[in-house]
Parts: sequence; structure tokens; C-alpha cells
Amino acid sequence: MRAFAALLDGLASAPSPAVRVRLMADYLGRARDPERGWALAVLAGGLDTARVRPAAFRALAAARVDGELLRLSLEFVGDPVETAALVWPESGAAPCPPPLAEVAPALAGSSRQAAPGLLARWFDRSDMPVRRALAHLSAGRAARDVTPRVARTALASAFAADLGAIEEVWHGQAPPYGPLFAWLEGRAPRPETVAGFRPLMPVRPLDDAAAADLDLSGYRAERQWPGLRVQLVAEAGRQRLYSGSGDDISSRFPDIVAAMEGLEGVFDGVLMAASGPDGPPYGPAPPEALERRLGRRSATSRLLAELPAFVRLFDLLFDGADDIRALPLRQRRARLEARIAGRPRFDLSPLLALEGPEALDAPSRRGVSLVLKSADAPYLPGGSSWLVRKAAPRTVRALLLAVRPGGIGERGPSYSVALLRDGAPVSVGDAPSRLDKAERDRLDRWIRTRISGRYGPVRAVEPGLILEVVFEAVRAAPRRKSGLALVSPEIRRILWDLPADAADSLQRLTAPVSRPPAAGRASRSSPSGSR
Amino acid sequence: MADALEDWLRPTPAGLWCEPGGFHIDPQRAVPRALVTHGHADHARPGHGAVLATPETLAIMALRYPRDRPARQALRYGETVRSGGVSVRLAPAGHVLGSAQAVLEYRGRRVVVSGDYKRTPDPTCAAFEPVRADVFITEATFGLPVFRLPDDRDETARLLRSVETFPDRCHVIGAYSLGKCQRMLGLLRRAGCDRPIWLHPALDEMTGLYRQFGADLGETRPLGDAGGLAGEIVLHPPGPEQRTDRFADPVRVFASGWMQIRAHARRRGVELPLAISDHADWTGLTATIAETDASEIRVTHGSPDALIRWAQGRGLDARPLEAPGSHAR
Repeated sequence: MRAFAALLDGLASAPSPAVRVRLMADYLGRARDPERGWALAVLAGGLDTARVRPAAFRALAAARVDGELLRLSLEFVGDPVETAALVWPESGAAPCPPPLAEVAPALAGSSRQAAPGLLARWFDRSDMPVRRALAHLSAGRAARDVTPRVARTALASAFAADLGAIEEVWHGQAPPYGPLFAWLEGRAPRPETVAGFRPLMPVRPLDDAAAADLDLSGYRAERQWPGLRVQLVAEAGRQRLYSGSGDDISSRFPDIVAAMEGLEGVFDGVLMAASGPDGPPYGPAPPEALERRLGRRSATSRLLAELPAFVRLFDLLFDGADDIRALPLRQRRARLEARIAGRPRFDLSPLLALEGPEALDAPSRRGVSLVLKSADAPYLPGGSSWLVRKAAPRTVRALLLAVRPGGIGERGPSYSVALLRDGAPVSVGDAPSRLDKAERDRLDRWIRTRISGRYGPVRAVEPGLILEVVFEAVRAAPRRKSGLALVSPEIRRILWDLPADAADSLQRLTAPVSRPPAAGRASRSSPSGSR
Repeated sequence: MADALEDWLRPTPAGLWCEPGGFHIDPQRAVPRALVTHGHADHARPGHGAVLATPETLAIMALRYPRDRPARQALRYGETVRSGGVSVRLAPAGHVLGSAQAVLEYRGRRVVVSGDYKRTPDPTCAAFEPVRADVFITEATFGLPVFRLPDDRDETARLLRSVETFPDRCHVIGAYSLGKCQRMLGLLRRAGCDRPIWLHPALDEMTGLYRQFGADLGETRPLGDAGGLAGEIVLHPPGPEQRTDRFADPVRVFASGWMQIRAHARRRGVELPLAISDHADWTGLTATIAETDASEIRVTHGSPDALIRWAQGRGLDARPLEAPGSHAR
């Protein structure tokens, strides 16, 4: 437990996924069975240990600590979870913390009524670093900085194994993952899995220079749809829906899983929420609608009716039980079309014509991102990739409102920017800068002399400086006064000489850039990348 | 009945004033005669007419305020001087080099003014000496039970473990120039780390002074304009403005008692928080109050409320000492 506690502590302040991977790999490489298996279960999100609510931590501490001392401590620390671990009385006896292999399954198997009692007994046996880990674990916060994908990446890194190979077997395994570790250490054969996740063909950006050199004759193009890249697996009577990062999201989309009934194979596509009346045919709703579905671990029937989902498919990896990944795309596509014809909740991503010298640039200028795929290429994620020609970024002239210093993992401060509505500035988001050092320093000096308010670490400035902001898209942001937010904004330039009223009006964002080509029904004009 | 404490020792806007002795203790503004417990800038101000302190503290003040020319009177630990019927002795406080408690006796009553202190052994300064007192005036920087700090050896081991885990990154430790910097050097040496450690110029002179007083801090290298330093350890003045861009993928380390509250660390963008302090933690404060055997406790600096509550719970006459210019470090 001590090593796991140190790991959680490190993860909580690690500045980047790369650092988290290194910390976890270091732990997984040193820890033993079954301790490391339970750690992996916690980190990869496979084990729900959230059993003690924050208010219960306060009650737990109140039973052991003077009320006034506890009140002062809570006031100072703020968080009852951390406070309970910090103020817990120590007997002076040598601590003898329980192993994670005892704690994790006991918590997961306990009720909300029983868990605080368990926690108190473990607290009594532990010193501060372990109590902090126990507290976060039972509050369900242990893995909040780690995605399942990052945890699996660490596992691959710890054993110098291939992430794709791990993801293929991952979903058939259960904590504490004995056979998985045995296989990774070469002590046992690869575990058998049914309906596991297969590595996805990666998508790589195509820059201007490479686009100019590309011979388009062997390529097929599709629009990049604004949704979540998914893999559908139907094998031996089981249906599973995986996100592109290999997480099982079947429980969130029972409508999709039900529609897979009778199918057999492995499919690649983009999951979207349907707009308007349910299809077929289907039109994609704005990405925020899908976010609402993704936010619920299990969908209510009301949500299912309100936001039906569908999958726009573009590839077939297994046709029935046949592994067809070695076949060229044109053949896989033909089989895909035959397989899903007429099935509700599924449609096909239309192929677009690629003709003329403007074939790539014209859609890009209209705000459409294209995915290019070689028609002869097999589905071999290790060797090749699809290419995405991103929509040309849009720019606006925005007014600087405030600056917030950069936190962990950020490269610098971010700047709150605004556009004008009826002449008054309304915020449209926070943008980092890509300015060079000299320009950044000049901006810092400008800001220092014009601070108009301080809100914690945030400095508000007098409006007066115009920034050129590039961004990929606009999304709805109901909580903002403007109702809109920029997607991936960055400050490219400072327009020192322009007056404050030279900022663009908010209407510039809401005006459509273009109509999407083909198949676009009620879709938003600006696609965000399918991730 | 002995005189009430307030008749001869009381807080004033300038600082704690000892009337029969005719001197202030750690005054916040320039006064004719000052007793200075240690060299941190919130206790040792320039401009006094005369300063009484340990030889180490006088040397630190001379380094910090080269143009300041008070009449300096050195008092070694254990020596006694008399001033207007008050006898004054300095006892080691274990906080930083030269730090002292002021032990004052007047008409049969003994008052100990702790200054800043800690109970954890520190290889770079003399260990705290508990002194029995009638009245104990204690600091309370970490006067909350949430501040029971871990063993500094465990914290040092975490740092060395991180250096081992990230050999391609530079560990930049934020540390104050007086005390924490040298303590970190001492802790690293005690943990068996004998590699050269890079020192920011702002930390260099004070570290030299520690060496003059005999501290063995191992090999240090001036940082100068060096950048990169993957796999190396750098000691650097703290602060969110701490410029670390020039180092290789820096791990920002901060050694301070506040780091016990991890939310503070995250707010400051600290990747590796080390809860190492030169102040007594809750355990140290409460144990010290008990050891002094004082029946009257006056609490100053930091979070007095919880400590007063604790002391009152033990039947002691505990109250805040309303000192102007409280500080936190």
C-alpha cells in the first residue's frame, strides 16, 4: 500500500500524461501480484471504489478529533477528504498499513453504510501518506488524473509490450489480472479473449507541403465527422462498443448495442448523436449532444429518446469471423456496404470525389476536414495511417480581458479573450499564446500597467488590446454570456496599433462559414475532429 | 504576587517591548535597542541603534544589510547579560543558523520568547533546547493539527527517488536562501547523495556563510547561466515566478511545511511537494509547550486559535499575543 500511496501522490501533481505513464510504469514494474493487479484495476477505471461521500469524512473525523480543532482544520484545508486523513490521531504504535489487495476489493464490495467503518480501521493502522491514499481511494478520486488508456500505456511501457496487443486482450480480463501479468512476463501464453478491442488505424495530419506532393489518384476521401471514433465488435453472440482509446462504452449506448444484434464482425466508424427526428436517414447533431450521452455511465430511457445515437461506419476489420484486415480498403469497403445495408442506427460515410487541383484546398477553406485513405492499403495500424487534411483555421480579432498564469502541464499563461456584442465585450474563451519570447515579454509589460482587478491568480486588464486569435471551430457554451466558445484557440499575433473597438463582433462566429458538402443535413458548419 | 507579564513585556506597534530592559524583541521598525532572535527579514530589520543577537545572526544581518551599522553585541548560546534588571540569555531554537529563544528573567519570573523554532534535528544548526519557563511565548506558524509533518528523511528519499525515476529531467528545488537551502543540502548529504548540487546566485552567499560557521554541505556549483542540467539537482529561490524554462523538462520541487496540504502545491504548480519545514509542526508545538512547564502561554504568528484551544484544554492560561506584523513562512 505504501508504494501505491506514493504513486497516487505523484500522479495527483504530475504535469503531463507522459509523466504519469512513467510513474505508473515504474510502480507496475516493481510491485508484486496481487498488489499491482489491484492498482491497475483502480488506475484503469475497472474498479469502482467510491464508497465514502465527502460529508461522511467529516463525520468520521468528528468521532476522533476535538470539534473545534476539526472545525479550524476544515476551514484551513477546505476539503474534508484530505482533512480527515491529515487530522486523524496517531497512536504512536508503528503503522502497519493494509495492502491494497485487501483494501481495493473490500471497498468495491462494501456498501456506503459499511465503508466508513472499514476506512476508520484502516486509518488506525496507517500513517499519513497511506491515509491520504486510502481517503482518495474511498472517495473515488484515486484515478481522477488517469485515463484508462494512459494506464494501459503505462502497463505496456513497464513490460516493453505492444499497447495494441494489450488492448486486444484487455477487456476479457478481470482484477487482479494474474494471467495478464503472467503473459506480459513471458510466464504464460496470451489470454484468450472474446469480443476484444482491435488496434485502430491511426489518423495523422497532412500539412501543406505534404499535401502539395501527394498523388491523389490512389486515394479515397471522406469527410471527418464530428463525433467519437468507435469500434463495434460483435463476436460469438457478444456485442461491444469501444471508444477509439479502447474503453468499453457499451453501457452508455444500449441503443447501439441492441442494433448490433445479429451482426458478426468488427467495424470502424464515428459515433454521433442524431439531430432532428430519429432516422434513418441520420444527421449529426452538434458534438455537445454526444457529450451528454458520454457523460452518463448508463443511459436513461428519456435520454435515449431525446438524443438517439447512430454510427457512421467507414471500415470493416472482421467480416463474420474472417480477419480481413490484410485486404485492400476497396474490398473491405465493399464488404462493409453489403453487411450493413438497411440496418437502423448505422449508415455509411460517403466517399467524396477528389478531382482537380483544388480537391484538397477548397473543402479546407470551407471549413471541412477531409480524411484521405489509400484504396489499396490494408488495415495495418502498426505500419501506415490515414491522413487528415484539417479545415483551415479561422481567425478573429478579439479583445484581451484577463490573464491567468499557467498551471501544471501548461506551457504558459492563458488569455481570456472577448468579442463585441452591441459594442460591449463578451468572453469567448481562454487562449494560450504562441508568441515568441520578445513579444510575450512585451505583452507582460503591457498587462502589468493595466491590471484592473485580481480574482485569485487571475488578473483582469482594462480592455484596449486587440489579439489575433486562430481557432478550429465554434461550439455552443450555454454557461457563457456569449453562449459560444472557441475550440482550440491560440493567440497568434498582437495587433498593437488597433484601437479597442476594432475587435470583431460576435456575429462573425455565428455566421456559417459554408454549407458542408453532401450528406450534411442539419449539421454545424465547423466540424471538430473525430477523436 | 509577581508582576503581571504585561507590566514588563508587551506587544507594541514596533514589536515586543521589554520596558525594564529597555529593548524590543524582533522589532518590525527601527528602534534604539533590539534583541533579534534570528536572521529572517521579518525578524531582523535594518536601522536599529543597537542589536543584541548570536554571533551567527549578527553575521547574517551584516551580510544582508551591508550598509547597516548598528552597535552589535554578540551573545553566545548560554551566556547571560543584564539590562535594567532583566537578565537575558539566548538558547538554541533549531530554526536556522544562529536562531535563538530569548530567555528573560525579571523579579523572579522567567519568560521564554521562542522566536521561530523547530524540534526536528537539523544538521545545519544547533538543536532546540527546551527551557523551563513561567510564561512561554510561542510561534504558531503551523498551529493546526493538520500539520503533523512527515520525517524529513522520508521526504528526502522521495526527492532522490524522483531523481532516479526521471534521469532526463532537471529537479529544481524552490528553497529560501537562509535556512531551507542549507537544510536541503544537509539532508541530501545525510541521505548519502554526494553529487554536486547547483546553486542559484541568490543562494550562494548565505551558503558560504554557513560554511564559515562550519556547516559541511558538500560540493556545490554556481548555476550562472547554465541551462539544461538533465538529471541534476538545482537549488533555486522559490515563487511562482521562478523561471525554470531554461532547465531540461524541469521537475518543480518546493520544500515547505505548506506542502503538507497538497492543494497548496497544486495551486503553486509544484510537481514534487516536500513537506519539510524549519518551523515546529503541531506535534512539536504541543510537545514544547508541555516541556516548558509554563502555566501561561502566549501565541503569536500563524494560526494561534487551535493551539490556544489545545492549551486551554490542558488547563493552561493560553491567549494570543497581539503582535503587530504577524508573518507566515
